[in-house]
Amino acid sequence: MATDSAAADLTVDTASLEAQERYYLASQWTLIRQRFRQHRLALVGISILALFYLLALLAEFMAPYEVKTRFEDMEYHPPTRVRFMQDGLKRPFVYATQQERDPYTLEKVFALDESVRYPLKLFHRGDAYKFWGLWETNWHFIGVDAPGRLLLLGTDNIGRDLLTQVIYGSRVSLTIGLVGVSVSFLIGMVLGGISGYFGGVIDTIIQRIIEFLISIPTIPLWIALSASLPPDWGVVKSYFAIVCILSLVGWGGLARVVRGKLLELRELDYVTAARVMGVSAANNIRIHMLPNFLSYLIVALTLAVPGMILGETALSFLGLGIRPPAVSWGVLLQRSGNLNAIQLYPWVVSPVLFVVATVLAFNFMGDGLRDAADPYKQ
Amino acid sequence: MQVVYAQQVEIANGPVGYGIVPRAHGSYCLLLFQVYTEEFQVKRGLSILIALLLATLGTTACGGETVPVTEDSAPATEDSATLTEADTTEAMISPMAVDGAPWEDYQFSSPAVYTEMTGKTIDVFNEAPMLAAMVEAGTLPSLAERLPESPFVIKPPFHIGEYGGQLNLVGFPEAGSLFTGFTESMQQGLFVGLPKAGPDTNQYFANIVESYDLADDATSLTLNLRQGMKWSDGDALDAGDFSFWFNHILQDKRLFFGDTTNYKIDDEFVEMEVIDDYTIRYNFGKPYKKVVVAWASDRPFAPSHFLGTFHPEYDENADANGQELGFDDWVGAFTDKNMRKNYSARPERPQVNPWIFKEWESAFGSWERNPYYWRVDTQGNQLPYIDSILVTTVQQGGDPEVLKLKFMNKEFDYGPSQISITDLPILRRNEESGDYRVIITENATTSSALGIAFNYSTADPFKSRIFNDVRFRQAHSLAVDRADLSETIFLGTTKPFTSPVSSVWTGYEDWMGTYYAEHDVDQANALLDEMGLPWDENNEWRVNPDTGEIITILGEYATEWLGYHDEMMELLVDDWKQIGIRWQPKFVPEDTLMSRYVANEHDVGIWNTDGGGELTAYTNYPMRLIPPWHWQSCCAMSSYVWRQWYDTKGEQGIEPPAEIKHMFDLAFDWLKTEPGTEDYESKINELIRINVDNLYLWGTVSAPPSVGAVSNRVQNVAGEETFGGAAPGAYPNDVTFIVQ
Amino acid sequence: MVSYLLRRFLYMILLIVITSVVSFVIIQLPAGDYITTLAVRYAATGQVVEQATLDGLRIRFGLDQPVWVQYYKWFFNVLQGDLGWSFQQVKPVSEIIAERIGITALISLLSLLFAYTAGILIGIISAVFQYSYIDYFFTTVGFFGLASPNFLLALILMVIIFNMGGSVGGLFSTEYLDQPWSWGKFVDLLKHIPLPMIIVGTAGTAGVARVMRATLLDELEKQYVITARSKGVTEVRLILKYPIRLALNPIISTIGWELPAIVSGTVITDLVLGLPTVGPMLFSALVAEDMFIASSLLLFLTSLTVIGTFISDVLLYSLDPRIRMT
Repeated sequence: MATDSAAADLTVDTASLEAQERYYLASQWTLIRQRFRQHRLALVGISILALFYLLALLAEFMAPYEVKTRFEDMEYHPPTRVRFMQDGLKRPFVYATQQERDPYTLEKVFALDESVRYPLKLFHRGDAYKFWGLWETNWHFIGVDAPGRLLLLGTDNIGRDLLTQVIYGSRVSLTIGLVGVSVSFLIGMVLGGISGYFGGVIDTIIQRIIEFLISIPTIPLWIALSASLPPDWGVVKSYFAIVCILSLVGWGGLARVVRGKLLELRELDYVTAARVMGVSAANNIRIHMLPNFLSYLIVALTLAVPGMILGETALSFLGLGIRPPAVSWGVLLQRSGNLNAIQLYPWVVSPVLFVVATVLAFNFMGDGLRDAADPYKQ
Repeated sequence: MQVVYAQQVEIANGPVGYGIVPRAHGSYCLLLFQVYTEEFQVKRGLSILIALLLATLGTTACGGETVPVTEDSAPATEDSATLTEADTTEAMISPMAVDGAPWEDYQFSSPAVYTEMTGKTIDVFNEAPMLAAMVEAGTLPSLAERLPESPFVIKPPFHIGEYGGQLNLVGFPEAGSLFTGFTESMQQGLFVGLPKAGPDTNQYFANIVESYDLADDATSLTLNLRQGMKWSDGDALDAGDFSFWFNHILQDKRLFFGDTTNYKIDDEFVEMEVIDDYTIRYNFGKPYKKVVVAWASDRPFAPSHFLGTFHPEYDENADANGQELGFDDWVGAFTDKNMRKNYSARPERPQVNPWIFKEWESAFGSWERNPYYWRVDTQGNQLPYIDSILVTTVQQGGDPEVLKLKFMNKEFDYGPSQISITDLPILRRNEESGDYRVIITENATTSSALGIAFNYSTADPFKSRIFNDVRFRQAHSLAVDRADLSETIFLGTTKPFTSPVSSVWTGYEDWMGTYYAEHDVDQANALLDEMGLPWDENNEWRVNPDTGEIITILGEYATEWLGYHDEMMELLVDDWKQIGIRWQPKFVPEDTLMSRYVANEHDVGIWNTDGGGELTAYTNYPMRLIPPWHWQSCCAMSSYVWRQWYDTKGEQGIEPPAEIKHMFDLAFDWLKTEPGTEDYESKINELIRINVDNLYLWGTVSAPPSVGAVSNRVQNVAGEETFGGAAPGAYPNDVTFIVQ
Repeated sequence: MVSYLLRRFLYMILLIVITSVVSFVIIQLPAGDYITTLAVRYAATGQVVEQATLDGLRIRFGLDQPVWVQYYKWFFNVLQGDLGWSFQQVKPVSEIIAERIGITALISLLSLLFAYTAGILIGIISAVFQYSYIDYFFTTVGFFGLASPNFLLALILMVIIFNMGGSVGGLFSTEYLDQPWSWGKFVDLLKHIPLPMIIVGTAGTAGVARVMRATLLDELEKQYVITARSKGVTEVRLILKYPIRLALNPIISTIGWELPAIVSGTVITDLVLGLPTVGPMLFSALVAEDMFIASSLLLFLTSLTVIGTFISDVLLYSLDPRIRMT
């Protein structure tokens, strides 16, 4: 490896000189970008996230059906296979299905009815919905004509299209992390900053408060909060409220990071110089110190978000999270967490792939950012 | 030793379970378990096949070798004509006596009764090899000293069992009672009733006592105790133990936490008279015919030799003895040792159960046979058959899936109690590899899978108006697509059912179950139109005509243990969208929900309607038929304040309308009537009729059948027959045995 | 220094007391108490629920008294070493904890061992082969455990093992459950322990791998490494000799923070796998408002957290002279 790079250095001498020049002249952000591009996993991660957030944004349009649409008598329908071939290449289509109940195990058995075919249609006109709650329309990205069913991930336990559920569910699951983290971020930044920059009595007080907050157990707090919010608040609203409240308690860790970094930076000459020259505390932090640790904070945040997404699924499992009829990834996973689903209807478990992909993507992006955060480091 | 090969029979789609079951003393007999499929029609043209394990054909051509008794099970067909007349709705659990004898012929209060009724005698009593060895070693008195002079005789429902083996169960440790269901099911009461004994006194036999005598005018009850009956530590159980309980526990508020109503006449305790060591009489002063039913499952006695140490009347050092154990005084120690409903969690407290508690660690609890148990089978074998029971403990609130896996992996003999109808597919699929059988029984005490009672006493004037309008309830009931509920959630096993009490009740009439149970959205909408609830401009929701606000009902629910609660609410809310009523379903932790019920702050009570058997109602109160349509101290579904007003005679709560007052009066009058009388029937009929007519508490679909699963090595399982009234198929009892 | 330590120590005690008060209140915050939970459970199993019984139990458990009296009684007893009783299990709390803590610590330690071994290896590989496909492959594998919801992972693995005919759940097969220790029982334990070890372990692997990779990358850029490389030291020796040792430092120094986790175990995985550990019991006690066991356990865990922080702070301050002591 070492010899390889040495050889490369020799052959492209002039090119590397130019590159070096560009490197020295480039702005910090350009360098971060360049550095980030090197981390291919991070690029994959950021693309996945872009796709998922786009899906969430356009959920009503991207989902084949409306979120409440139920197909009676079609619970636990396996995924429909899209076919291209029949007597040669054809326009993609799906077969109709027939169902009956096994008289002994009482489970539903679905069989293909190959006599009826429904071609796939792009920009299909299906279930009516209000896009972003504003415009009434019935455009869907993809679909088949009723009574054909396009169930790309199959149906859930009461006969709703699972893919639709996943896409709608991403709205809650993908935003919950951002909300929680940003609350902690704001408080942590401000209080950590004050603590680290001023030190002394203020620092001591804030540190003691942080220690106290960190030692408050969160699960009982969660149980208590979910019982004491106004009863007429919806499920999702309550959940967001609890996340926000817990973030009010959970900023301590971040504040400590900020404080530690500030303590270090504060002693640096240029900061002392600025202070001596009478730059106000706020300006000093903002102009001279913030750029120095902002990148670290962004990394910390990127890595905190997937934790919140997983937390949502975990709380749903414990019965403390979001509940039906609200749709979130946690709800979908909770529903698939039983033997029947895993053994007999494995497609019900498929939402977990979206969770895993998202969490991996966030982590890779975070790692990429971390590598890129200090671009002057070789 | 002869082995007869079991023969496989295929009926419909049902595979056949079979086993070779040994007789008590070595010879093997052929057993054949046959699976029936029973067809029954559900309304709306849906016909469903339910495969059902019903019974065995216990052809036992070979007799016991060492037992000098001539009696044996009769051929299967002999008495089949005398099978109890199972009514059609009960088809799923029709009591199938193997050899067709009527149920009365299965349990006998004493050998004398057995001889009198069957003409057969029991000459020799036998004991388990495990105990015989102990007797031989000199660590245990002989069987003759341990058994009462006349033990209770029980004819096992399928076969005479074989001694020995360890049963593996799984359960939750809980306060009040360790492994509730299990310990409750093995506890015996003073009297024992027929399988589905209602409040009819004639259907009860003496159980723990040898015989009882209710005076003709029902003013006194005499109990004749079993001479020589022993506690599990070998001490005699005599009249002293009865008077100890009656005088020093029951009447002492510090020591007795239960309801004393059934021991009082006109708010005064009944009088107890000790006639001799084995005879006691309770005098009531006035007729109290209900007493046998009311006391049937009670155990009005306590081990005075054991608990006396902590009672000042029996031991002057009681306080000191208590303090020695770390309690403040004798009360603490006494309570700790006596713990109600918790006999089995105190290894040292003497018991009369078939198995006595041995030890309990974080991962398991274990029980061992009671050497002094007082029941024998018809061949004189002292029960129980099974030597010991090992219960793997799991955390309350733990995930049941791992338990199902362990059961299917043959690690437990009984399926975990959380098995429900939705597990049927996976259970059935693994039946063969897991070597077990699935037992399906109709849920007899639960009328409906989920019942709904609007809060009629709500403080919101508009909601009060619509909730108290019967058309609002009728519309809601008509909007429910019950066939869809059954197909989607319950694998098609339930039928529409709206009545608050199940069809086995006295006073139930056939129309009640399906009253307003049809699916008719148009009629429902017409009813709401008639009420004057207009639609909003989008024609989406109905609004309050005065304010124009959309009518929103906050549907708070808990009932997490049902497993189907979330799906049910989702489907119901979708149905009610069709009639323009906007429901906001919300799961709430049960504690919080109860506090909202009691505070009268909720819109609607949503709960499963279990625990509403007629007998329970008669010995307590008909909780499903009067506000709050559930137990007051738990889950008061609706209008708790009305009941409060009635109980405190107007001091607290809110005054109910006249009709509700009439319901209260009717209900409490009914408790004073005698079972079997015309008064009894007419009163309860009127009460049910008022409830059904008004749909105060109305149901959705009938409760799904209970599903249990039992290893094929376990035989004589309750639930394959409604045996002993225990929870069907859920737990072992003294005649259950393990194929060795 | 001494006065600083003393001050911190006193503060630590104060913190533990305050936290115990707060936890006690928080646990009681939801409506109802243990008795209401019990009533619902009775009703759910079709039993008769009598008001008199419930009132009696309330008096017996002391739940009829105001919260502060309950707290005072409990805390006073804790000071005397009596952690109270569990209502649910009708047993002394200390006994329950004692029964479970060994198993919990065993599983936690094994999981930690797994997480650190796998994490360190993955960290080294992905640092040495930075931005190569080997890096990407191992990073993805390492992160998979972190990214998959534990309860589902546990369930799916159990089903797979079940389908292969293995015994799942718990720590022992039923046949060994109540047996004294024997070779067979030990082998049985070995069969059951890998599942929780891997599930809990993989969740922690990513964190270790990440730190390892970052610090090792830092080290590899340092002058001494470059010098060594230019002198022709083989690549393997080059990496193993010093950089790895140095890169292990931050990982080892934070191991102490795992202390409370070792004692409590993980709630969710243990619930799914049906393990008799501390975590699920704490959760169950919290949900049921089983006051004393919940409070005592929380007190125990917060004490560990606070003591852990105290020790790490003291170490940090005494090791780094640049940080002033305030």
